[in-house]
Amino acid sequence: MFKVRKIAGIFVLVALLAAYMRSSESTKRYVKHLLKQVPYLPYRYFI
Amino acid sequence: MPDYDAIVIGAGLGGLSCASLIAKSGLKTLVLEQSDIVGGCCSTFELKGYKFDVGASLVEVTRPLETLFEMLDRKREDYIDLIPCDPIYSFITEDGRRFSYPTDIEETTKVIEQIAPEDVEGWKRFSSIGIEMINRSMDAIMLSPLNTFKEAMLMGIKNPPVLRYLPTFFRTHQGVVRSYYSNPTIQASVAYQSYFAGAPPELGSGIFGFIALSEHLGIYYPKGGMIAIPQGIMRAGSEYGLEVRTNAKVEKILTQNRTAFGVMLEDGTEITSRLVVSNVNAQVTYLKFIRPENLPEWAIKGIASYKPSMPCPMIYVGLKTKPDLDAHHTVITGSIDSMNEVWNKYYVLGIIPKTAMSLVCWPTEADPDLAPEGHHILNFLCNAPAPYAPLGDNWDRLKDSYREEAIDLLDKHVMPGVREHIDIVEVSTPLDFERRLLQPQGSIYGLFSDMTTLAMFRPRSRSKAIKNLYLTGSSTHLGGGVPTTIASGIVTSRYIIRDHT
Repeated sequence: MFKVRKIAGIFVLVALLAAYMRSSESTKRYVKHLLKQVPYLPYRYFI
Repeated sequence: MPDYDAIVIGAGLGGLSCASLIAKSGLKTLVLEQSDIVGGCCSTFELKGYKFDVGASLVEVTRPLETLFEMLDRKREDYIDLIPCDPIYSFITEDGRRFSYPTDIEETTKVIEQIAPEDVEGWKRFSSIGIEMINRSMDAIMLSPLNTFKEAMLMGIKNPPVLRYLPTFFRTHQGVVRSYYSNPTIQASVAYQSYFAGAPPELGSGIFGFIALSEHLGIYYPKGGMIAIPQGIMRAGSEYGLEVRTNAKVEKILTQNRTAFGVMLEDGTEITSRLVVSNVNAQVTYLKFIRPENLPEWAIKGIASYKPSMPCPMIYVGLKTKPDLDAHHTVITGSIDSMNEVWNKYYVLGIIPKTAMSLVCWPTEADPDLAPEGHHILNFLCNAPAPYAPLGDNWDRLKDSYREEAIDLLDKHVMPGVREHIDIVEVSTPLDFERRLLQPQGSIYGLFSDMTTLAMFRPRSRSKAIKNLYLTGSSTHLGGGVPTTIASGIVTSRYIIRDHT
């Protein structure tokens, strides 16, 4: 079961990476911008 | 015994709306305003017989303002005279074409049909979905507290249809626009509003894609200038005992054991209260008025993580003649790609972009009494993002040259020969806005707005870090703008009335 999950996880990751690589420069900037904000979200939620 | 029940720092729209409502609920309330006039960004100053608006230039979506006056048991029309403006916008494209959008949706359809018949269907879908969304979301999203997941879930349970619009928050502004329109001119005419939320179309939340549509519900200009709105709210509040002191600059918020109990003014005077409301930018409130040493570590990390929205220099022009314009607002706009390019290749690198993208407001079209007889006013908002710290220079030094460049733009794109007709010109740079409005980096749109800084990820109306501290204004949900800041005042007052009466 664990092995199946691991393979599924890798598959999803690869799919996401492929989608990112194929996206426009503009979308890439948007994704990068959002990813940079993620670490702050827990702090922002409480402030 | 404290001097007041509530002290409100800042007489902006959020502060005055909140203060009036809590004064009505019986709380002895004092508003402290650092400037000599009320309104903050929604204000008007006089210079040689001309009344120039500081920043805000119209009211769209009047529902929060009407709700405020209903809650105050007053009739808005007895306090503020709103003049309808139609058409809502006139556009000047990169290649010099001009067209206007009337308020009426059907009439706008005809305009779009002339420019891009292929986008009529998209416009019909956009307007039908958008108007329904705006009407359904008004009370649910604008006038309800959304500080926590619990409040957001409650809002969703009470208003299930609103959940349909949730994915719009996660899309980009340009994503929403492009899903309805294919013609670059039409796209540009509904994409520039992204800058109103302080972000380029590729980063701003898709929810702001509907700002353009909300204006088809009607846009209005208050008789007497934008200051008439805060003055009207203040007058209604004063009938419930609200006290407003101008030229009263707050130095710090007094706290003990992470509980606010008053303020200290610049001259050292201390005024105590049961609670403090800050209408000042949330970062200034926490990092300057409260100070980091009085805050928990998580609060410092949270508040410091926000970025200000883009600053916009503003040029105020007094004209000796009537400008050849069609609408209260004229937008000089470029394509979506050029808007993003200006942001990425200039703004983020600290370079002032050489672009015409801007917003020209003509308030004397609605209210001729703002200028000497036969004269007119143009408030020219250089909407193209301008960096707070231009590379190797600063705004105090650049002020004169920037003014001349802006007049050149007016001359070239809006009103040929404008120089001959200019009676007076004044400039507000990002530094001026920072000093005048206490907005870090002169960001007149408040905090940068995207999906990671909206709703429960925006500073809370009721502080969790400091007890008895409340926030309102453009830093809080839903961000900058006349209706949104009034709505934030209403939301904050609801917390206070629940907690303290």
